[in-house]
Amino acid sequence: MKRFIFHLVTLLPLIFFGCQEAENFTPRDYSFIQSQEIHSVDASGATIDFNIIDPGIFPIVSYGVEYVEKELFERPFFEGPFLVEEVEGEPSSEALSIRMETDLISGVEYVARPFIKSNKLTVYGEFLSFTAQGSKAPIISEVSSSVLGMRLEITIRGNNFSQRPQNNRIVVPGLEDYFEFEILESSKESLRVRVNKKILKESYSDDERYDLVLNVQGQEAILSSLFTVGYPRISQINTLKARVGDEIIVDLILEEEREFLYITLNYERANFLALPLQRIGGNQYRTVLTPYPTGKHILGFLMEGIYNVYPEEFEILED
Amino acid sequence: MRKFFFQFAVIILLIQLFSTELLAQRNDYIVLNDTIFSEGYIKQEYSEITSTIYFRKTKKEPWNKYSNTQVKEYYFSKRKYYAKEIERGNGREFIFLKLIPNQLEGVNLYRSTDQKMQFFLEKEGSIQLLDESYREVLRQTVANAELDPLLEITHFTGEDMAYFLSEAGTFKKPRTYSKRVGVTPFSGVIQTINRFQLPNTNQLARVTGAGWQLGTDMEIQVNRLRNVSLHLRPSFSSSSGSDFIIFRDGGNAFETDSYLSQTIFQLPLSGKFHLDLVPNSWRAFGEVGYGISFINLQESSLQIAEIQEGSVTTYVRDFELNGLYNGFVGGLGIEKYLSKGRALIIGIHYSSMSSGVEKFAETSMFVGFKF
Repeated sequence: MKRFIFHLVTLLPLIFFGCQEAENFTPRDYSFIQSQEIHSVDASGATIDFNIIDPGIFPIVSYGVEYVEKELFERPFFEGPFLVEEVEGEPSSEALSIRMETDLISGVEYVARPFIKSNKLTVYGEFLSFTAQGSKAPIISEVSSSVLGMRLEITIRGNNFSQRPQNNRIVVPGLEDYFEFEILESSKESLRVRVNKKILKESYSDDERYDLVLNVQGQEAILSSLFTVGYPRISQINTLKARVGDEIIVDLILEEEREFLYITLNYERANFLALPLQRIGGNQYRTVLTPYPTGKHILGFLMEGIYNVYPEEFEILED
Repeated sequence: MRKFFFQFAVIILLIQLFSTELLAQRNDYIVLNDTIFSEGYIKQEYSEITSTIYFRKTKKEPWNKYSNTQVKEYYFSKRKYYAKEIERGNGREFIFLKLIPNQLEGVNLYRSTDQKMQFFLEKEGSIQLLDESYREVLRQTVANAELDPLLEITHFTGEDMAYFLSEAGTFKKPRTYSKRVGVTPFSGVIQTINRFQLPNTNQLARVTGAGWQLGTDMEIQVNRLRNVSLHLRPSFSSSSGSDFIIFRDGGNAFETDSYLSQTIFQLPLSGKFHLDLVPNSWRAFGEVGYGISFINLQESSLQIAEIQEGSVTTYVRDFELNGLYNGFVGGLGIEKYLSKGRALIIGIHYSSMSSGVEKFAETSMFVGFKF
């Protein structure tokens, strides 16, 4: 009996402590994430930490953080849009940190929540709040065209742009009377900009160069001597004399394909002729001369409101 | 109404006490050697308590002094005293002894009036001083082997020895004998169930946990047969567990893991009834009572997923529980009796308690050793 009691006394603690259940998690289809904290709040942004408690069964395609001004968030029926920092691909560890680097205004309170995206499902963590001390200044690394007037749209690439189009402002000093810029889309790393021509600049040359100034919520990025001015025009024509029904081939100075391109005769007169151009290849186009009075006429190029006169006249011969 | 009942109870108690004192005095008596029996008032002087008493019939009379050679017997304060010639190391002497009543006919147990732990056993006109061999003397006196288990737990006290003699006097069949007071340290494994309302919802969670328990059962027998006892059973437990629930609240679906880790101090007061299976070997018991539990939440977490169309919001919260619960306790078990009244106890103890809408239940399987 003594031996039995001895064994009982020695075994019981093992049995007892084996009964304790550790904190466990019931696996689910979706990911389960937990917001941890926001730290490193300074003039260059703020960092949110979060944990992936369970990755779920679906592959993760991206993860990141959504954030917005608290005052905006607390408005009734607010559903977005949020500012986003997103990383493509699967996370490399369970403990993640995402840095918010854009659109943070010093002294303004924000709320932020992490997210994970898998197929057709986004899992969000809990909102955390913080007061920003600012965000990084914009950097321009690439502009899709350096000739203003050639394109309807240009794309500016770089970093730390405002994700809200209206918070990005583009100025090209010296060309304010000729061009205005409308931000169509913006992300942290690119701006899609519509270049509206107010009036055509009559004289321009490759020697006249202009700066690009991007202002993002008071912080500027300048690309010096980036732009020249230029408009789509005819660079070469196969003949300056033709009969009705003849084929005319032109080479254009053009940076982007457009749907409606014409060569014109006497465009600025009431009975002008517009001949639609068909692309042959590269910047080479063709058209066929339709009936028009014989004689010499002013030759020009018309593209979506831009009209450029060719320096020589075009003559229509009698049949 | 309560106040009236309380006042009434106090008055009844005072009257009872007062009347008891009067009766005690009125019933005191003295029997002189010439067998004169007189009722009256008795006074003892401790300095001469073995040899002398004082008696008067009425309060107006002066005290009369009587020696133990004059007085054969007297009754004072509900106790009988006899003048006996005894031997206790200083030669034979004549002293007053206090009778300790028992139910074994022909055997009297006395306590010395001047030494609290000095006892004498009288049988068939022979009186002897009891010493450390008192168990052997008692065994020979009653000559009943079925009482040996009781003799093992009979201590050198008037109460124990009188109980032993009474059991011998009323013996009908063997039964289990237990100590009047027992202490049983125990330990066990427990299953706990916490029911509580999830914060900010109408949903109840039910967390089932497991853990261990340590405690001490302190018992006192409340009847002569010592098969009904009163128990104070403080215990300390630790458990942890989790629960997964799916529910809808406010139009959204929720899937939530609830986890808690807790320590519990429980203080039940219960009555226990014992039933002999094999006398002095196996005994079953059942108990019911009332208890309180103090719960100290060590760790708590809710892993909540709020499911909407196309998105899930997940977050982790902790939660609080009430600290004090009270309610029913009960149990069943078996005792295996060993020597000297010790026993190995195996049983199940259950408690079901509440605190507002929160409920707590604990079931333990325990092993204890009664000393």
